Amino acid sequence: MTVLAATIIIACMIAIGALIYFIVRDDMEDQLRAQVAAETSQLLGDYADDGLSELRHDISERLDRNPGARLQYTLQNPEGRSVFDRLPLPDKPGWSRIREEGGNELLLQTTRLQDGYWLGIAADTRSVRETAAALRHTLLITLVPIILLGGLAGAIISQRFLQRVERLKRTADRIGNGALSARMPVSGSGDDFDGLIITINRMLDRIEELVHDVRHVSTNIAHDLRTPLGRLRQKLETVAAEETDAEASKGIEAAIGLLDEILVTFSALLRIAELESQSAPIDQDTVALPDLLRTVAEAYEPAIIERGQHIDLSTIAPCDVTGDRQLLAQLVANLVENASRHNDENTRIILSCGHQDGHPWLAVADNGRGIEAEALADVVKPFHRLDKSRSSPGSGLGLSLVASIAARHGATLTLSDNACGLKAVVQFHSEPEARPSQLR
Amino acid sequence: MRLLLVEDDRDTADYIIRGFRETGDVVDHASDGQNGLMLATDASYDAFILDRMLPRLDGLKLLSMLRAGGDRTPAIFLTAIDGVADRVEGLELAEDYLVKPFAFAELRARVGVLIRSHHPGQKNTDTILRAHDLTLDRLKRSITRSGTPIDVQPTEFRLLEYLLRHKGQVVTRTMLLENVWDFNFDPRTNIVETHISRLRAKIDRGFTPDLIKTVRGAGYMIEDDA
Repeated sequence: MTVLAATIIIACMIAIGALIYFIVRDDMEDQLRAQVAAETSQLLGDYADDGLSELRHDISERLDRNPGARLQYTLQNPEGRSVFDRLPLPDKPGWSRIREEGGNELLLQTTRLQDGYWLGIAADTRSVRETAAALRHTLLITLVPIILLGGLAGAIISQRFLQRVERLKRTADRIGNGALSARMPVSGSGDDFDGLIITINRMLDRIEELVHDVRHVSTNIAHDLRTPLGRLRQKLETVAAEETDAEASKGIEAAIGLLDEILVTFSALLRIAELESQSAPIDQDTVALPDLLRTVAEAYEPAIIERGQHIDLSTIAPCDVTGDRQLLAQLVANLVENASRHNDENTRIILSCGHQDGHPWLAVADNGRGIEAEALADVVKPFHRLDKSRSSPGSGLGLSLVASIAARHGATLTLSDNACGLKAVVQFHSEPEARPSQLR
Repeated sequence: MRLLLVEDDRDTADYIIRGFRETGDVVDHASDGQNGLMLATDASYDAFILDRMLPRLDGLKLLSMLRAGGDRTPAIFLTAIDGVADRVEGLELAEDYLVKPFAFAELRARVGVLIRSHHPGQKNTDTILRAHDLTLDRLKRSITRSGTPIDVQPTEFRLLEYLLRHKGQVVTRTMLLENVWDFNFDPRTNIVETHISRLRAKIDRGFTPDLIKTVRGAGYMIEDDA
């Protein structure tokens, strides 16, 4: 980009230089030609009026005048003998260039007179050549700084442009990663670029407002539903405590169990909304991934074995990430629960972690039923449940929560086919977010 | 026990008061922060149960004023606010934090633990914890029952240690998840139940009496020797 801009600027400057050179040179030559033509026409006028002798007289007079800067005259008789400056005349009328013995180039106009006589009038082109040479010289000398300055100007212009584009790209990336309040920087120069940025920023304001409204509504719904559901739970508990009939007690307990399922779903919804709104800071502890995986694996092992499945750790390389230990534990736990709940007996769940290109990753893989390739992208969306998992318990928020926690830690969740089964990889990319000033 | 409850929601307050009164505990109730502050400074309580969002003076401010005045009465926040940062903020002042809606058994167990750890009979620094004929040595990382050494996994050791430390008190599933595994989320898997049953198989099978009791609808308990 920089090289292209510099090349264009330099090429333009060279072209302008060449143009100036040719225009000046041609203009000077035209003046010379005009001078010769005027002289010729004057002498021809005298010749027409008073004949050859008057012509001779006129020329003799001119030869005495200003010998250095004068034109050169030649009169040639029909036998080919010439007088005065005795230039060799071509045998056809018109303009020609001839070279003197001294090497000087002359611009010659030859005219045929009556009686076989020829008149030649010539002008020395030395002044044109000297001026052209000086001009050439000047242009060549100035070419070096022109190239340097042009290169520099091109570099500066394109650099400024590229910097602005780079700043825009960075901001767009941040917005894409969920920092909806980020805005494109306006340079203040009021150029077209600024105009475009102002329009984009206005659009971003509107998007942020809409997203905020949607989140606010869903958070409020979840919050406002929690209170009555909490009261309902309290009432059910009170009734259960007073109920003596065993059958009725069982029914009430089952109802409380269902209610708790609903409340867990609301908690997950609120947690996702909280994480995605980025309103509250998260802890910035150093979390050792191997320890975290080991803790989760140990916690789940008895329950998983009870289901006839297996859980193992493999390729655990030491690696730390910065973030909230509790949230990361929940992330791994959700992935393990998913792998266990949606698969049958004898499924093997493998936890691993390591580094790729200097960035840590963790993975939960299983050799179970897997997910069709075309459904992989959808399962991360809230409330998305595959048809075959409708019969198993769960809110459909597990993977959304995993994706939200990952995003909040500057990581991405990728689900892929594990040849047989599913592999969920959480790849950490960058520092999750600027360290919060301090929790109050 | 004498408890101070500051809660503006009438139904929730009734539910809590009724629950504690059934077991003979005394509960004073204030329905806003200002009244709560007055009651707290007028009388002496075993524990405070405080809502976070209160009219006139919010729970966090109420407790910070009491703490600034030198009041060390253990406190638990009840709150509908379940944000990650809110929890951290609450736990800087209060000893415990419970998200609404909650089961009464959970609240009662937590308040029980709160008060007991405030006046510990068995100190946190004790290296040997006992119950009946079971001994847990924290330094040697060993467990014996009737003199027979018992081999357990590290998680099971921590689980038993927590139960022994709160001997005679009900500990709930959530309390175990928070304190043994450091999980403050609700797993959909019966993690606690499966670990308890493994632990029981090791320390109770072949011995009498069974030490780890299930308290229906609440949690688990190792009974006091007395």
